Amino acid sequence: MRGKRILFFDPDPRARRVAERALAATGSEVVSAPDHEGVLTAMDQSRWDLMMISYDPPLREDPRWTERLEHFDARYPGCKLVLHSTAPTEATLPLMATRPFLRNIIAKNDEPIEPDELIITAEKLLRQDLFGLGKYLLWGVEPYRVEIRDSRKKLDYLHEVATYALALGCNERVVELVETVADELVTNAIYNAPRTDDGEPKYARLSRREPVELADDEVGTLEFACDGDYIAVAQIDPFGALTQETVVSYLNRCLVKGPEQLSEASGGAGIGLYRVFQSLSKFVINVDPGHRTEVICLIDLRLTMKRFRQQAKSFHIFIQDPPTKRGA
Amino acid sequence: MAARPTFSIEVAERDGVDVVTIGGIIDENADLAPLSELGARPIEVNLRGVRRINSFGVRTWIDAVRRIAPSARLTFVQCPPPVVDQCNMVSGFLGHGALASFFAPMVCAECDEQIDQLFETAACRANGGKLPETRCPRCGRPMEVDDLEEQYLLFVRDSR
Repeated sequence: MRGKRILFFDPDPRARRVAERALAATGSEVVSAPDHEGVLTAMDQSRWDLMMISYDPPLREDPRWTERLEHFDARYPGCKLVLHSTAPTEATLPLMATRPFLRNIIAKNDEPIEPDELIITAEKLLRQDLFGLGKYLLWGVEPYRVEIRDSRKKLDYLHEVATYALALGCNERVVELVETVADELVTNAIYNAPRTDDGEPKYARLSRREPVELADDEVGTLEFACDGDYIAVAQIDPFGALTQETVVSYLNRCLVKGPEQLSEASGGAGIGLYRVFQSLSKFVINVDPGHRTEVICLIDLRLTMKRFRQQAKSFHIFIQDPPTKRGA
Repeated sequence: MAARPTFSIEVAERDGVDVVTIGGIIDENADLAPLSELGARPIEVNLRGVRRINSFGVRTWIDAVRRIAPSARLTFVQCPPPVVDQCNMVSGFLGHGALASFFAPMVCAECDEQIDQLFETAACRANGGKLPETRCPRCGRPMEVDDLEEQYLLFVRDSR
């Protein structure tokens, strides 16, 4: 975005070249640090709107970086932070539990870094234009939309998604991933998202065996689309109640195999998000607090299941800035 | 697309063993009471037909398996990949039971043939925690599992 300043760092010169080109193409001024000493210096030498920084060693182990990360929001007010890493997302998720300013982790796998994801992430953060499945797919792709209204019709909703995936030629295991994601998203839209006027969960404590029919102003949407590389499934609700704390704490709890995995605190099992997370390549959550939540799940169709399991997952939580901050 | 089976469960007695056959989707519509109400006789649960388990289904399943009498010898057979995934991801999924046989998705790097091959857990354990060699039915070359073998076979290490 024109007029914005981005500091980028990756120890891999190929990644730097890709990022410099991609980010500069958005109109932003991009400074790329060549090494970890350089990025530490650059962080303090200027005012940045966005920092996109490799979380891999040696920077990760440098105490000067740790200190900066610990107090990032106080030290760099108004600056957004995106980390990119080759580490499994499970290794970086615990970081997000105690650092609410850390909401975006881009996974790096075979290629140095995906320019699309860099551009989309940077522009969403800088423009505060967060919503829309279309941002993650090639231009021209038209998503299918299903209204989520009645828990008794969940199998019908899932049937539509599964039919779509089969028509694309997805194999049985990919169809199962897609159905798993859609199942948990629909359940989330019906039972977890709706709030009372006081902002309290309306149906979350109900057993998932209790039928629920949403009122007109509670109805959610299930979207699905494919651009050949990715199949995307998204759920939108008109509440905007999902928080970073909820998502990260649920995932961190479930990632450790043990008796704490299942939650007794809700009418569900408390592992829906975890099952979604295990079934996708990129996880994107957009929240306009009190107004709207959009959960986007992208599954990379180019991979065998073996490669899919090996790949790190990108994880993004975008939270709409309050209107006063947005204009700043 | 033809309508897919949602859930089915059948219990039969065979040579003093209660044989339970489960198929379809284990979710909030699945009634697992016939499994949890079995007595102390040996129980063999055939899960070949299970297509998928959602998060509520995982809770229902664990509750049902926990209610089975601890004195009943409990064995799971012909577990498909969605069940194996749950065994590996969720603590207590098998209760006090043991997974005796399972399917693994095999792929041939040479001719791209894909099959779900049945394996015995004991054979994997005897093979150092790895899958025994499987030849491609089409070209005869060795196949490999289309998953991370170590991760897919976590339950072999964990189980008795």
